[in-house]
Amino acid sequence: MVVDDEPVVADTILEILKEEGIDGFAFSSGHDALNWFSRINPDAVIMDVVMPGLSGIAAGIEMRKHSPACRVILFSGQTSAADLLNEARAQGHQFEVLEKPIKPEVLLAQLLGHNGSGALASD
Amino acid sequence: MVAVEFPIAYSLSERTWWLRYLIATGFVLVALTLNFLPPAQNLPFLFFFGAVALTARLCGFGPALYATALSAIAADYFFIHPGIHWGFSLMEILRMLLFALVCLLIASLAQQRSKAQRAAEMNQARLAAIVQSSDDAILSKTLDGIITSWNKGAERLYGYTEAEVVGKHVSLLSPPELPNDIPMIMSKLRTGEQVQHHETTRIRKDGTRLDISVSVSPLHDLAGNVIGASTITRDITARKAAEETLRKTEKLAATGRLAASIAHEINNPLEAVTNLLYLLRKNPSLDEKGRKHLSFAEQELERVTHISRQTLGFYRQVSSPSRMDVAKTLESALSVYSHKLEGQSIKVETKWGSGTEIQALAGEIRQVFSNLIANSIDAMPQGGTLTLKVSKAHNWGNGNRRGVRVVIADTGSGIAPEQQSKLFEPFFTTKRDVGTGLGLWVSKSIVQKHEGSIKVRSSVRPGKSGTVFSVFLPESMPASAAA
Repeated sequence: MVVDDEPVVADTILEILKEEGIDGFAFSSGHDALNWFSRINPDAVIMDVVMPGLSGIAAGIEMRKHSPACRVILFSGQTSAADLLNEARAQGHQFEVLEKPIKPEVLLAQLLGHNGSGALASD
Repeated sequence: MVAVEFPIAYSLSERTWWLRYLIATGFVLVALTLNFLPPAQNLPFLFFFGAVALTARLCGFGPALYATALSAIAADYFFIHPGIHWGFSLMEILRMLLFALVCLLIASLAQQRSKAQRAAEMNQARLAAIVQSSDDAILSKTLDGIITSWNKGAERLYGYTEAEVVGKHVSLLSPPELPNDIPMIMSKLRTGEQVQHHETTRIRKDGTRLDISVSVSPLHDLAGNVIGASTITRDITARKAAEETLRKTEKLAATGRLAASIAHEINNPLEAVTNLLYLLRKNPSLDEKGRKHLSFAEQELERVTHISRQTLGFYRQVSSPSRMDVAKTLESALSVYSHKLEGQSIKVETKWGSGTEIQALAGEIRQVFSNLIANSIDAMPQGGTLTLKVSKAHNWGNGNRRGVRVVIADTGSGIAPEQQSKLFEPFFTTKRDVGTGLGLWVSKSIVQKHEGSIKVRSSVRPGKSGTVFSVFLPESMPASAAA
C-alpha cells in the first residue's frame, strides 16, 4: 500500500514495486488509505508524512491499532515532519522514516531487508 | 546666544571674611580722601554713602555695618568736630543716627539687589550644571551656524573639546554626503520653527559616522527676536544597530520558512523524477545511447538532490541525536563542493581515522562541516590545498571526555589577528560581497549545543598564510540538548 498526496510519486513507487513482484495499491490521501486498509490488509504501508487532511503519522497510528504486525514506512520531504515524528515518538509510536527524495534502491532495501542497515536514515 | 554673566559681586562675596572687611576699610578711606577734594567740600557725607553702598553690594551686610560705623567715626572726627572730644549735644546724636539710618537703608537695598542677583546666578549655575552633566550633546549656535557653547556630552559624542569648536561653523559635524541637512535646519530656525527628533548622520572628530536624533529650538532675546538656536543631540547608533539586527533576524526566520516550504515543493517532484528514471532504466527496450543519456540524467539529478539536502535541509532536519560517523558526514559534505574545488584547482588531502562514530544531530553537524569547507574554498580563489582530518580525540581542558576531532585547514589568505576575535559573532563577515556573517556563528552554536568546542588558528604571513579550524565533538551529546 503506497500513500502520497502526489499521485505521480505514489504511482511510480507502485510500479517500481511491481517490477520486484510486489503487488499493491496507491492512494492519494490518508483517509482513503485508512478506509481501504481493513479490506486490503497489507503487509506494509509506504506513506508520506505531510499530507492535507489526515497526516501520515495519524493514519499510521490508526493502521497499527488495526493490525500491529503491519510495517509502516514513512517518508517525507519536509522539515516539519521532524516535529510530527517527535510528537508520535512521545506518544510511544515508532516508525521507520526515510527522507525524500529517496532512491528506489534504498526504498526496496528498506522494505525487503533488515531494519536499519546503517546506510539508511532510520531516524 | 545665552550670555552667561558672572559679575565680581559673586566672586567677592565668596572671599574670606577678613578680606571683605579690608575692602570695606578701603572704600571708607577712599571716600574720606574724596571728601577733602575741592568739589566735595560742601557735601561731606555723600562719598561715605557711596562707600557703604558699594561695600554692601560687593562684600555683604556685615562689612557694610562696619563701613557705616567707620564712616560715622571718620565724619565726626574730620568734619563735625575735628579732633578728639567727649560729650555730644542732642542735635549731634540725632544727626549721627540719621546718618547711620540712611547708610543702613542704602546697605540693605544694595544687599537685596545683590541677593536677587546671586539667586539668579545660582539658578543659572544650576542650569549650566544640568546642561554640562547631560548625557545628550547640547550645544548652542548663532543663526549663522557658529557654535557658541558646547557641553561635556557633546565632547563625548563628537570627540571635540569645547575650545576646539566654539567659534567654528556647525557644518564641521556634517558628513559630506549630506550637504543640505544643516542648511535645512538653519532655515527652519530663522522662521522660528522647531526641529523635533530629526534623525540623521553626523561625523565625529575621528571620522567615524554617528546615527543621531537631533532637536533644535530657536533662542530668543528679550524682544522676541530669534538670535540663535540650542541643539540637543542623542546618539542612536546603538538603537539603529539593534533595529538592523532585528531586521536581519526576521529575514533569517523568513528564509527558514521559505526554505521549509521550498523543500517540500522540490522534494516531491524530485522523488517522482527519481522513480521515473529508475523505471526507465528497467525498460529492456532502451538502447545503448539511451542508457548513456539516462546515466547522465541520473548524475545530474543526484546533484540537484544533493543541493536540495544541503541548502534546504539545514533548517532542522531531524531533531533527535543519532549515531553518526563523523568521517562519513564530512566526506559527504565535501562531495557537494567537488565541482567548486575542481574549478578553483584546490587539492584535497583527507585523513580519516577509524571508529569516529558519535551520538549527535547529524544534519546540524553536517551544516558545521559544510560551512567550514565553504569558508576554506572562498579563502582560496587562486587555488591551494584543503586538508581534512578526522581522528579519535580527548577534549583538551574540560575533564577527559572522549570524542572526535575534526581539522579543516586551508592554505588561503588567512584572517588578520584583529578579526579573529570577532569571527564567531553574528553578522561579522570577512567576505563582504558573499558572506551573511552567520555561518560561523551558527556553527559555533551547533558545536556548543553538542558540548564540543571550535577553535581557529590563522596566519596572514605571505607564503605561509592559511587558516585551521579545529572542532571537537564529544562521543555523546548531553540529553538536555537533544530536546
